[in-house]
Amino acid sequence: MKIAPHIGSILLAACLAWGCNDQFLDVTDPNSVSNLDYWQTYDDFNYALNAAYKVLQYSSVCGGFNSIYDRNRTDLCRSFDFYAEHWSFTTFSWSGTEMYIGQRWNELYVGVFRTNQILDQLRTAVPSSTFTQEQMNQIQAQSRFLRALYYFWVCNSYGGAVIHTTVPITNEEQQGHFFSAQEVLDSVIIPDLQYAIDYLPVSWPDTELGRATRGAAKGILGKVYLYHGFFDAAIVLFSDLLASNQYFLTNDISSNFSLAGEHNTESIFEVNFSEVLAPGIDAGTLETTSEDGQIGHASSTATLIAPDTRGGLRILVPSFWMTELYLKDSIDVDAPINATRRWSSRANASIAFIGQDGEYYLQATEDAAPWYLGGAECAYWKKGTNWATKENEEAWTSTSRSGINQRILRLADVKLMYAEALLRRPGSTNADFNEALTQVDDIRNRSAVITLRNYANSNGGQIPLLHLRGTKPFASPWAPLTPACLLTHIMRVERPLELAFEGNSIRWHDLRRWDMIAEVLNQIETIDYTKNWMIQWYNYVTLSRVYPEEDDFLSGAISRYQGMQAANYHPDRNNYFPIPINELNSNTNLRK
Amino acid sequence: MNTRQQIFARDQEALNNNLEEGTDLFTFNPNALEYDSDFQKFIERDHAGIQNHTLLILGGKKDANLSMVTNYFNQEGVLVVLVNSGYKNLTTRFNSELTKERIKIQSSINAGNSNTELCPVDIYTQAITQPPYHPLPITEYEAIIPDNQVYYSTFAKSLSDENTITTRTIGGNLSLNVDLLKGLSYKVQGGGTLKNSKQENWQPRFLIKNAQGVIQNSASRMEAQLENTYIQTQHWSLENLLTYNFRLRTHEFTLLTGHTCEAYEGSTESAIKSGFQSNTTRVWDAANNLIAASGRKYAYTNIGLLSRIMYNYNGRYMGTVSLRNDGSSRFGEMYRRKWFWGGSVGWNISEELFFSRARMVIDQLKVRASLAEVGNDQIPYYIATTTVEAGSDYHWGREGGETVAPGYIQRGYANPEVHWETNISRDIGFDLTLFKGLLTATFDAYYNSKKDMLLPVSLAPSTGTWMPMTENDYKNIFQNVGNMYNKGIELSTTYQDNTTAWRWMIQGTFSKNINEVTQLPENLGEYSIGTANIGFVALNQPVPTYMLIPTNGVIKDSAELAEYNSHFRTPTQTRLGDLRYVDTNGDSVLNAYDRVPMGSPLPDFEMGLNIKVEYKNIDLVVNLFYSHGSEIYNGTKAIAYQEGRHLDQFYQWTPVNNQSDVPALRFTSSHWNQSMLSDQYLEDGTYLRFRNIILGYSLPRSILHTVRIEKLRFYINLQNPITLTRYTGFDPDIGYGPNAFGMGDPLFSKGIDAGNYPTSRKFLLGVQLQF
Repeated sequence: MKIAPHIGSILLAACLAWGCNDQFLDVTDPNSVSNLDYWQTYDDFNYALNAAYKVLQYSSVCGGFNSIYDRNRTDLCRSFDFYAEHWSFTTFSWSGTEMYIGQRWNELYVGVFRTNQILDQLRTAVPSSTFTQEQMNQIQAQSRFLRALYYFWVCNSYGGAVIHTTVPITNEEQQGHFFSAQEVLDSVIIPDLQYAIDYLPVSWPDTELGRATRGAAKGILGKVYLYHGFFDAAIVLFSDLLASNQYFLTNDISSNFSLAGEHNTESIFEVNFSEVLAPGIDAGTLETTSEDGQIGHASSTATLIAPDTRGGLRILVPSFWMTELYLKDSIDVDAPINATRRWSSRANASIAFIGQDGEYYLQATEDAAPWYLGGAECAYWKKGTNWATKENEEAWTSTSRSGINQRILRLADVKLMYAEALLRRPGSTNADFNEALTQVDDIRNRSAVITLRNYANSNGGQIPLLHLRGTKPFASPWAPLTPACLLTHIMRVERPLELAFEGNSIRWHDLRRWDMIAEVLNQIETIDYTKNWMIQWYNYVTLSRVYPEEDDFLSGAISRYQGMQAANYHPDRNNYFPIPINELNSNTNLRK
Repeated sequence: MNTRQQIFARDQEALNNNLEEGTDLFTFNPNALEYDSDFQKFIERDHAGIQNHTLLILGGKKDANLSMVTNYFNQEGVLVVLVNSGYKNLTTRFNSELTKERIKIQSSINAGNSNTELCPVDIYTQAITQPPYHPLPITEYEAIIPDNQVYYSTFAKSLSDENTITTRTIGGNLSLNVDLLKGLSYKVQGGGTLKNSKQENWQPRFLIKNAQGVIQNSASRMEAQLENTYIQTQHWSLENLLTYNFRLRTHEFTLLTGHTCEAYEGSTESAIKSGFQSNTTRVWDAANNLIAASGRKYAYTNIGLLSRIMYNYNGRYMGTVSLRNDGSSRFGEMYRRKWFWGGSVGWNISEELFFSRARMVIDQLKVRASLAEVGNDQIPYYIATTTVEAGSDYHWGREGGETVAPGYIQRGYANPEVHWETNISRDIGFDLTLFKGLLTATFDAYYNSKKDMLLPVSLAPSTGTWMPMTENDYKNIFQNVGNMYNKGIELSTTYQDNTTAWRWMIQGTFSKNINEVTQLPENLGEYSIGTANIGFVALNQPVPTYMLIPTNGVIKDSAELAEYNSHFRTPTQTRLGDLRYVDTNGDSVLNAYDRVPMGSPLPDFEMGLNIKVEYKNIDLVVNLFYSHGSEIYNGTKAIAYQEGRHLDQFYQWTPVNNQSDVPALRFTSSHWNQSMLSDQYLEDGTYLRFRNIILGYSLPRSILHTVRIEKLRFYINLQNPITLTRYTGFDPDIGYGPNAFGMGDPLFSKGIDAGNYPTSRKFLLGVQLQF
């Protein structure tokens, strides 16, 4: 046997083996671009910014559950005990381990992380022909607007925030400290929004609607100031915004909750949702994961609140108090738009109820009433549902999909906040009072309900206190129209009627910042919403048709709810959520 | 609980919540009393069959050998009556060996085809939550749910899902061994495995109806959906070894040096379509809506250099020293390569001259000691560098006029400093044989430590990595977080006697292991993985350690309630019948800071007893296993408690039954009375189990040799027939595995019983035939 061929094969094998040298270990990720190579052009930064906007759609930010959980615990809504997790929010009995409490924090911080990446990279970017200084400023302004918004929402929900203004790299940096809301305001939110006001454009072309504008930054900063009691600073921004002649109240309030009215003249900032894009992908499936390539654009809000007979879950329905408030808000019978109306256009656009004007889910309400009287469900929320365009929330494609944009800020909100700030500023004058009254009446005028000035003029200077029960249901006590009375009207009547169920849980944060939760809940619970009320209500809305006794409901369905909210509420425990348990577990700086 | 018990418990719950009317169940479900369904029983299959066939063919002559072995295995699943959960596997392997003078060539080829039918995720826990006053599903594609259709429909729908994985594997190995010179040999070996698998996940159209028979859109699955996932992997390896063996008088040396390299590549592609023509057309062509298509690739490589010196003095003293250098592509450029070394010594005392007298009793006595380092690079791919990922698209414009805006962003953090974990094992022991082989004993004491332990550390959510839907992908970052050791002893003694007509063997084993984390970074006191927050890594504690809040029974009267409430700073909502938690840190607030280490799923010690007896043609094998002192978190009980479905809750505290220690059922599942953080679900996992009882009978040779059969044996095998335990869950033998709490990491899910696929009690009948 010859040895030579063997030696040959050995050498060959050895070469193969030593071929496995260090370069053999160079394996790069084929699925994404290295961070070091990415941040070059305007497009790169712009695409990253899109991902920062994307967080707005998250289900605990604006896209789904959030619009529900924070609304449970207000005077606006009722929920049902079979929605167990919702029930714990409704009755102020959360323990801190609820999914929503953790997820809202998680999701808002994804937004903070993304904006911080862009801002970090901008610091080292050099202006060039493919990425001009002007473009850089504008990207920075949008990023800082979003970061401020996310931090504002963290503060509203948790009473403060862990501050990261750059991407935390080291283990130490990743363990952030918790700061009070005031500190977050001073170090992040206010400077960010100031920068945004300076550099954001006044408007965007139609193909870019949804981006932050100068008006949005002013409005949000005004709201931040108002929430924290800086009334004069808020007034400057709000009056600026109103004087800009850029935003106008729409003729019909319903255009603020509809698909057709997206980005209308009243809209200041919206979160975009779309049902047209990505058909078949469930709402809430928004970004690719390692398991599937699904990128969705739809919201689940509509399905969560529509009645179950219209393909929804009606997790929340309007409270009896809120239903009564809408029905008590008398229309101005002389206004042309009220010629055929019994209820205000605002009531009709906001809630669905027996005897309402017009169709509901493309059906005459009398023919196919969805009301489930056995469960004392006498009204449903219309805002945020597709009642005007669909027969059923599922009818179009897959489940839970809605394309209605979530309006974060609109002019009516600004006008009412402006009025509030005028009345609450130290040394508020008569002129302030008159200006505030004008703002409130503007809003009432648009929906053609009787303005406060008209009430006062024809009733010896008195207006009805619609939030209070009079001698009988659907009647109210009256009081002179003073600045204090107007402020109460704004807080207890006008803001709920106009903005109920909107924005990033406007109502809950209003009640909390006014420290009115206990007062409101206690007052409402003194009202007797029992079977007797239901009969009177039914007679009232159906113009005294006899109450259908065969649809008898359990008095328990109503009384079950009464008393639990006010009894359980405690400001220390319930005004803010606790810092989520997952943050405590993995952030040593938050441990005592 | 059956229907009557369940309604009673619900009624008590309502009364406890001061609702005078009691439960409103009958408002929604007036016919509740007509049903008494047992959903757990419904999904269990009691007589699942197993088949196992093996065929072995051997052949060859002096310098060429060939063998073929084929195995077919078919196991029906033990869960789900509507759809199978089972496993089928067919594998074949050819081995050949050719020797010619100084060259030896070995090759093997194997091919396999397996088919796994998965049962729906969490089906067992889902079954627990179904109320007994709901009817069982009517048909394969239809169910009536009288109330809360949306909430309860997940279970019914999942029963008809079919989720099958088909895997085809082909692999081969070729090695060449050449004796170059006397004592010097060279071996080169190459191998490869190709694996293709397809997962077909079919979710048929399924109608959920209410009590009146009206289809409930939001609860039903109106459109069928099919997702196919294709996974392709290939694995290549090449190894060169040079061995030199020489002898200097009675000193024998073996020197070995070599080089190995490995490459692994894979890809996953998947697509989902919906809107199928019918439930019988399960192909993409019969669907009209493509929901999504996705795919990704991954690869990694390893290199190793190794050298070893082995020494043997006359079979009396033995020693080994080895050194190796490993490289892995999973680490950053600076940290890829690392040196590892090891060594061992052995002394065959019974070979010594001075031992000759003892040889009357002791046949063999060997003492040995070893130390070995092994590297571990098992971390996810590409974690040493950060990347910007696609897939976060937003859009601009009004409805109907949208422009999609591509969104690319960095979603997680990299750890550029991640490096090799080193596992160091140290062992001393002896092997002893006595009385001409009647009694043998083996003893080992070990101290194994992990240095620079690689663990996924959960980042704080405020770092922005807890993305919804996909949070597990980004929130964990692998770090070399600390040190840990395992120390313990293992003892095994066997007595066997084949000298009489009764041939028997008794073997006893004992093992004890102590695990402790000895070092963690200072700013990382203890941390958990997963959303359950139950299993933790904590300093000076075993991994995992349960961190829970201790409770101290139920508050039974108003004096106890006042005393309990007076302890807390802010007013609690505690009422009579609530669990009494211990404020362990004394800050007068009840929260997550009150968790303390409360044991671990690791047993204190384990024992085994194996007995084998043969008499004439009859043989009997009995295997017993005992595990002592493990703690099990009974997650199934936790889920049942949270859903108000546990039989205990029939006996819950009520104003009447006011001495009960079962806390009152409260409305929300996250109420402290049912909280996952409490210690009430922790149970003792001690058990004694008969693992196997096998009784066999072989036909006498005298009969067989007439038909030229070597052996014909019939046997009955009882697997896991009896388990004695105080544990109240399904099975105290909680293995590693994915669990209902959202985490698949075995280290942390160990000990949590979340309705894992239970061990089945098997009764096998077998035939063994040999020609």
